[in-house]
Amino acid sequence: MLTDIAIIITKIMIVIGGTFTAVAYLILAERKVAGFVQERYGPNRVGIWGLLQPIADGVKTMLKEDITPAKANRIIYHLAPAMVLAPALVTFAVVPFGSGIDAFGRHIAFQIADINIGILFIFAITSIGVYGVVLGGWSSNNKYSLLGGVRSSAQMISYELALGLSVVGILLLTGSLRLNDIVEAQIGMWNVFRQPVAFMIFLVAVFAETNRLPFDLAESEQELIAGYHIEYSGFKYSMFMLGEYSNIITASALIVTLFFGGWTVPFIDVTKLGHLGAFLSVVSFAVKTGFFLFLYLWVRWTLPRFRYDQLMHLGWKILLPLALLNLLFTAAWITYV
Amino acid sequence: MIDFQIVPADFYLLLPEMVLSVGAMLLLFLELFLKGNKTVQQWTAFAIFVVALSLLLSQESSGATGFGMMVRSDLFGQFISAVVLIGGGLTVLLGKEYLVSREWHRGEYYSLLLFASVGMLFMVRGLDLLVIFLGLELLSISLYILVGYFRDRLFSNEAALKYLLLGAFASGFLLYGIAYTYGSYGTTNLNEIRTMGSPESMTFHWIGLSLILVGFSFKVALVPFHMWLPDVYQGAPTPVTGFMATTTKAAAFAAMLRILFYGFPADIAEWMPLFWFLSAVTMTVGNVIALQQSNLKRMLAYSAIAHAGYLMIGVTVGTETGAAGMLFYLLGYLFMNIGAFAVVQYFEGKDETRLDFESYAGLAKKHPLISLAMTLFMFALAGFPLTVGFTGKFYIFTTAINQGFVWLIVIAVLNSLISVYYYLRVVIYMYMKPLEEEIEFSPMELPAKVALTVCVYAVLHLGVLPGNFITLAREAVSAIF
Amino acid sequence: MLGEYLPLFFLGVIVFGLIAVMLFLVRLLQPKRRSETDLEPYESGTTPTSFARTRFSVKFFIIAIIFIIFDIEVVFMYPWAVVFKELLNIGTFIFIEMLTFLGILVVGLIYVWKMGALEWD
Repeated sequence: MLTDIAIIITKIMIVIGGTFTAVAYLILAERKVAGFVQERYGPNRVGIWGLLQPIADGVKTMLKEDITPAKANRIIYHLAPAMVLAPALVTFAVVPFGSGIDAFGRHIAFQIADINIGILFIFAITSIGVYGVVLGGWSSNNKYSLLGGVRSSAQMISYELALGLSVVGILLLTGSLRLNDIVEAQIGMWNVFRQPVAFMIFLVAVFAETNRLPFDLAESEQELIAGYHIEYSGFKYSMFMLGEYSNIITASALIVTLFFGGWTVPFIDVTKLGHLGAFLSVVSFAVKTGFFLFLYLWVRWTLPRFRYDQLMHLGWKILLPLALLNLLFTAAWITYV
Repeated sequence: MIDFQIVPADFYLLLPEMVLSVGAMLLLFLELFLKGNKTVQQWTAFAIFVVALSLLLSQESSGATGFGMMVRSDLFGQFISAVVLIGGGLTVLLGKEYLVSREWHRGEYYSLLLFASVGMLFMVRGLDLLVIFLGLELLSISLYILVGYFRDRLFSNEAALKYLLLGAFASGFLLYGIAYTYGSYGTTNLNEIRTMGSPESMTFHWIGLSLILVGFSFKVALVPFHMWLPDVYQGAPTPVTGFMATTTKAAAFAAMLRILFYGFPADIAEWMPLFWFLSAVTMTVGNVIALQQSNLKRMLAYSAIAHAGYLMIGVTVGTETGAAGMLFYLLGYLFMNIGAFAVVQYFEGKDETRLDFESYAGLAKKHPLISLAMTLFMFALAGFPLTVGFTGKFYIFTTAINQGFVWLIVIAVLNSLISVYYYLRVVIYMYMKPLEEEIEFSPMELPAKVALTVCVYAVLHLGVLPGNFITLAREAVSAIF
Repeated sequence: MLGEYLPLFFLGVIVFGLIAVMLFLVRLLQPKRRSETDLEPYESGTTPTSFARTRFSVKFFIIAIIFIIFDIEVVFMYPWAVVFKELLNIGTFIFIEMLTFLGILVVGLIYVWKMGALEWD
């Protein structure tokens, strides 16, 4: 029993630590990629290649003054960043990031919780994040942040429909909500080849869900200064940032898990290779996730921002009907072919 | 695992509901793609009601259940469903003129009426508490919108908001009651509850049943829970008020009867004092407040509360004949009340200013036929002989006296006497006061005329020759005992 | 059964503990140099005119209401999708069933669409 709990806590620590590290270096990578795209250096003063920059940034935000506007609704104002960060850290729990190893006389899965409602859990927890955004925007008593919060919540709920519907196609094929089952069903054939339309919808919707360009209307600088977190400073601001970037990582991991075979390695059955296989599976997962993280940065500096009416048009009038059609087609295919 | 198979016969059972639902969606589509005046929608809606009614009546009423005992097709359900569908059809016929004159004639009106009717059919034919709840919700949501149908009128908005808030409360009570019932019986199916007999937890059973009763008391407006009704009836478009007052009351009472008599037969006798009290208070409060109303719609709203009290006598008595009396009275009430509201909506004028008694002064000279019809409906509501109001009340009252509820009937008769005052005031104004101002009403259109004639005929027919229908009601009621 | 969820419980405790500790530490570390202008809402340098909690476009409410309806329907599809292949062995009823459900959903979508609730101008 104690060993079990120790294992669980170790896994949690690894995942949280990994997420924080990944977030830190994702931000650095974002700035480096930005520099590369815009033909400049990007951060290069702190450490070699600016590798210590994230630590400097972290210390800096911790030492900054944390301002609460005079007429803000205090309780909600303090709670909102936590409501963004906590769900973002929790969602990764059900994503399997490797095949698992045998140690201490038991099988240790590389996943915090292998529950049978995995996908539902992810959608349930991520939708809590919307509250953080809209409450943060509302409670600051700033017109820009209110608009940002309302906009981004409308955007997130609009794309949640397409997101949820696109996954149903995969569920039809797999017959399970457990992410491990979905991964194992993809051995030999990735879902992206079986459900290409669903993948496109999921990809677009996930970009919108994470409020990233080309869907970053919540914080479009030119109109709203910074959007819903305009009044936040110091560590609360970095909590929003941490939450946002953790969401990006979870989203990439989810794309990989649902459509690109998760931790499986093409043409190699890693489950039979023991510890080497486990290592390979984690590497495979990390490489694939890394690619989608890079895609996020790539898209950011490639595509301009949508207008709000275009955003709504895309979500409700294109992605939603498309997802319904895809679902219908998949069900008909399974039934009659 | 699933322990029942869904067979085609199940769908046959639900044909009326399916026709109504598909029809409602069809009407939504017609509204989107069909321009011009909306007469097509009116006739489509009417045809759908007729088709659904004929499908309903052509079904066997053997008590067959479907979808794993979720719904039951019996004479009881058929009787009340027929009341609902006839009410819906009449409302369709009456609605157009009223809405056209206010430039609000849209297909959604008919669509919502159909959706509300589907909800009511599920309420009265459902054999599972959850199906009944689902039906109630479908009904309520459609009605919230219908009540607030004139979205640019303050009264209508106010009514819709009040109805929504209190209706949501009532739904909450009902749902909590269902949850507690599930807690004490382990099922929400009335059939299983009935065969189980005694609950596992008596406390939960009591809490559950009382919460369910509170929920339905809201819907039929028994007295401590009647506050919403006058404002809602006054603010809603008049055809909708007529529809709500009759069909909704029928469906809610029917669902209540089915739950109490079919699901919890042992509790009726125990709860009798409470029903007695509710019945007496409801009719007294309704009638006394109705006395002081100057607005005809409000007066009819309070009279609706009073009638809920009369109907409660049937539940108090707790026998088959008592319930049969309620069924018959609900049928009669449909015609007299829809008829009354039809006349009110004809006279009330475009801006709803002519709703007080004074504006009815002398109308008999200019509109002898419509005034005569109004007189008939008022007599019927007051319970004069030769109308259905008399036969219905007579039947309920005699049953109650035979069962020994003398004091309740004394109160009920006294109340009927009080009610004569305010019902006849309308008649007195129409016939004995001089005409105050010359107002030209555009002549009534044919559909409305037909609806009014049907109401008049039914009130008289059921009043003079009630025999067949009373027998039918008795047979219907035997299905739930 | 609950064993599956035990790690999630630990995770929740740890995450909330972590956030609480960090917030506490930050409170100790941060400087406090507040002035009145610091506490005003930042509106691009101009003096804020009125309270921010005013009315905003009703369209957001409409979107929220439509979302709730559709989202619940989407959630209904999850259990259906999970048992789809299993129940297909009994017959194609499960397919027809969801076809009906989707049909009703689509009627609603088309109505909302044509009525202009999704327009944003």
